[in-house]
Amino acid sequence: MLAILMTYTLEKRFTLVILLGAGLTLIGLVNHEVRHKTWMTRGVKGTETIRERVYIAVFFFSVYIMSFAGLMPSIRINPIADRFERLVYGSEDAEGEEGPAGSIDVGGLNNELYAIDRVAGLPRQKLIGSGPELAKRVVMIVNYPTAAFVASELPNAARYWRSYTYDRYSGSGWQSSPTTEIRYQPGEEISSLNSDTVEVITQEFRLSNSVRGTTFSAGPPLTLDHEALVSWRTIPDGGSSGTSQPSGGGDIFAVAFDSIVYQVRSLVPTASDDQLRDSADPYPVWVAERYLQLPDSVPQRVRDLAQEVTSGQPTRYDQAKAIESFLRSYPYTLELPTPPQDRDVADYFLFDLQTGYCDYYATSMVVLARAVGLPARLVVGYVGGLYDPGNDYYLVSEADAHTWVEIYFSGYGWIPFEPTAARNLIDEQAQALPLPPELANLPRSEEAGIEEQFPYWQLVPALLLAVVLGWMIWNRMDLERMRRMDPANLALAIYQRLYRYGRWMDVGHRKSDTFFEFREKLLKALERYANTPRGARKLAGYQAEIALLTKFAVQANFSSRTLSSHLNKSLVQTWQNLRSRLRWVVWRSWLSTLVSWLLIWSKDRNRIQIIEDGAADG
Amino acid sequence: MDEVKDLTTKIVKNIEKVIIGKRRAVQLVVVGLICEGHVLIEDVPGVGKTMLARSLARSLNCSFSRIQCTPDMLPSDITGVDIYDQTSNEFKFMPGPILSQIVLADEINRATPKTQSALLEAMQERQVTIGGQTHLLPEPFMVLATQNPIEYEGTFPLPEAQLDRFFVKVSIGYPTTLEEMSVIENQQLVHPIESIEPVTSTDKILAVQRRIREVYIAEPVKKYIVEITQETRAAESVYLGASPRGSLALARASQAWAAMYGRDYVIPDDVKMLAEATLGHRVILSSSARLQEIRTGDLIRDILRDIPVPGGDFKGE
Repeated sequence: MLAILMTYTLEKRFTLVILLGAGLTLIGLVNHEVRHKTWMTRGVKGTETIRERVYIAVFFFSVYIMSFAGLMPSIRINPIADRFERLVYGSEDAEGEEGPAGSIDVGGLNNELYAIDRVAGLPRQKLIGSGPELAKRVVMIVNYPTAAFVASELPNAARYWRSYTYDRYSGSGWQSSPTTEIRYQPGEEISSLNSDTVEVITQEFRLSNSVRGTTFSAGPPLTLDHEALVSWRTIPDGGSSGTSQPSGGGDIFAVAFDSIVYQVRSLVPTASDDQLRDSADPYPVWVAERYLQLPDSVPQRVRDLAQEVTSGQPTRYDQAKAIESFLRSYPYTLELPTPPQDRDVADYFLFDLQTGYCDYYATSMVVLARAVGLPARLVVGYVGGLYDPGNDYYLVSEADAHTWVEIYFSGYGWIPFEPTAARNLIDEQAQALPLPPELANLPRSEEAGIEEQFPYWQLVPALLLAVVLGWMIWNRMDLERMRRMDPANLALAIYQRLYRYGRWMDVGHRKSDTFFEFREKLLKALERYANTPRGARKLAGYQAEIALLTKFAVQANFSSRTLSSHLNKSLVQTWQNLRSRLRWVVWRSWLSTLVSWLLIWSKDRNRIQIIEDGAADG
Repeated sequence: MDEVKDLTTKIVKNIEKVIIGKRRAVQLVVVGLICEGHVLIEDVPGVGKTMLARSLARSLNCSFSRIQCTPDMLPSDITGVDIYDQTSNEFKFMPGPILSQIVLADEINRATPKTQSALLEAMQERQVTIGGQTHLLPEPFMVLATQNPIEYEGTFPLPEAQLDRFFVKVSIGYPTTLEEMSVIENQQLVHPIESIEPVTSTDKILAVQRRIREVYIAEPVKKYIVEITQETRAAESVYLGASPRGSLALARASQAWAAMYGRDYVIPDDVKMLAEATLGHRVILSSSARLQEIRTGDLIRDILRDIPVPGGDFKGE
């Protein structure tokens, strides 16, 4: 029945809860009716009085389950596991991004959107510090609405989705020079399209909340379907048609807007090797000024190495390719120590580590390229991902985060290079990777955000509320049941509960203890608590209450007289009063036990410490 | 049951003027009295066994006699003899000390078995037969026998079958320091026994004796009593357990105890309170247990600690 309910009411939780309650009530009542019939045939007496009680119990139980189900947020186990992994392996927020971000005057309203991202720190602890679960987390879904055969048709560069570019190398990390923000309307051209060596590629992005706020695009964006704030390091003069803004995207640092679903048309360079080899014109001023500088921290041996690697290469493009292939000979690894603070990262990677991951490769390539006079910059974003042929999109996870290099070629703009050994070269056609089975079987989420933030804050109070509510309902039902009891049974039932409290309070009674012996032990145990002024106030009257309850329990059990049902009210009332006192005592005793455990524990720890110290001294 | 409570409280209070600080022992003796039973007081000399018996007799306004048992004592020294009266030319019955209402048989284990059995037979039958003539003993009739547990030389230990005839066994024990001091103080000028006044009449005692039989014993409590008795038979350190007469005595004594506290029903507390006094002397320990110096009191206490008490099926440890 529940399955049917689920099928038809999947979307509306409220209906489901109501139907669940109704279903439970029905089950309870039908069950009772069936049992009642059996009793009738067997001739069991006294079943009429049970019916009423059953109805009440069924009603309260259903209401309780309903409220519980309604209050609980729906739980999926994966986000919880993720959260747990993150707790265990370290937080994402604990990134050790180096470098002074404050030197950059961003201006505008949206600067806090990517204020942190202006500095691409080394190393990327985002990837290293976190466990494999985090790396598998999907951060975005990309599809190409205009491309018919995504996997085979697109150039590899169309799968390099950038977010930021960096121009300033500090020796220990990357920063951007000051930028100016310009607002662009939807559809307004951001970059200029004045070259036939670029291809305009349309992409649709669906981002997860973890990368919200930044815009990704393969190559520099041409137009966006949202109003966007573009940060320019060099303002394009005369808008989009300026000659000093060559094709290839000019000098954009980043594009920001607050949407997680968007469509972008961007420019992907398609210049051939030969065309690039022919590029020998002098660089524009803004390129030469900005993208050739190196800090003093770069030692001479790095510059020498750059000369050595590029010696004999006739053209700028060949020099760049030589640096790229030289770096690709270094083995790739993610398991690295943090580089020393006072070392130049490129120098440290090239001569000491000789192994590393994309940040090291890309940084080193920029440094080497600039050392031989090639204008270069660092680009950050995501690459590749898994192609899902069923849905015709790319699933991009945190593990696909990447850093690569762009080198400026006069007349052709910024051309991407891939110095990281673990990746295919950009100009090679990437083969579409098959989806792993666990991803292929995932339900196809059509929602905008891929990863919903799990509402933990909702869960805790809901659970608490459910527990408290359940407890209250249980108490009320218990008292209600007791009021309806036969007085003799009531006196005994109360004593059963008293025994339970006795167990919790550790009065140490035995099966061979009579009511009075138990009472003595209980009184003795309570006396301890009644000694303090607060305890005396809380417990006032407990002796008389226990005496009364004991008296009636004894009478009920052993006397030949039957107890009058007028007693019920006062017995239940007495028990209610006594119960609140006993609860106070039980809480107190548990609390003090906890405290004493903690004390013992800390003492033990101290002692172990002392022993260890002693051992160390010896 | 309030009249039972009032009466017994009065008696106990009265005796306590003489026997200081021994309420349990006094109460047990009163239990023996109102259950028409006999009491065996086992204790060392000088703790007030005789005083207890005498003050009881005075409180009840009953006749009292004392038999000092010795090995050369004959049954007729207890029961009395027919003596030929020359003036009337016929045998005349000279009643022995047994024909009193309260009889103190001091150091009963010093008498020969022959004399002992005469005494015990009189206790059981409540009559003596001399020269074909049956003499009914007065009512109420109660024997308080004492024996010294430490002396074995020249004694004839009571056979187990005879011990069974005593309703309860009481031991008085030494008083505490303060109690002993007040004993000295009390007896400085005149013995307090002289100042004891009767607090009741024999009629009232007889009425109470009938009354306590009406005290209600619930089924679970009856079962509890039987379980205790049966456990004395099953225990490992026991050679011979308590007889059904033991169960009967325990039940009756519990009734009396309940009535003494004004209750008309027996609760397990009563049973626990009286188990040792009523069953202790009916159990014969095995020789190995005796060698280990296990005492019947310990055995009964162990049994009481193990048997679950009726009163709700509570789940304790």
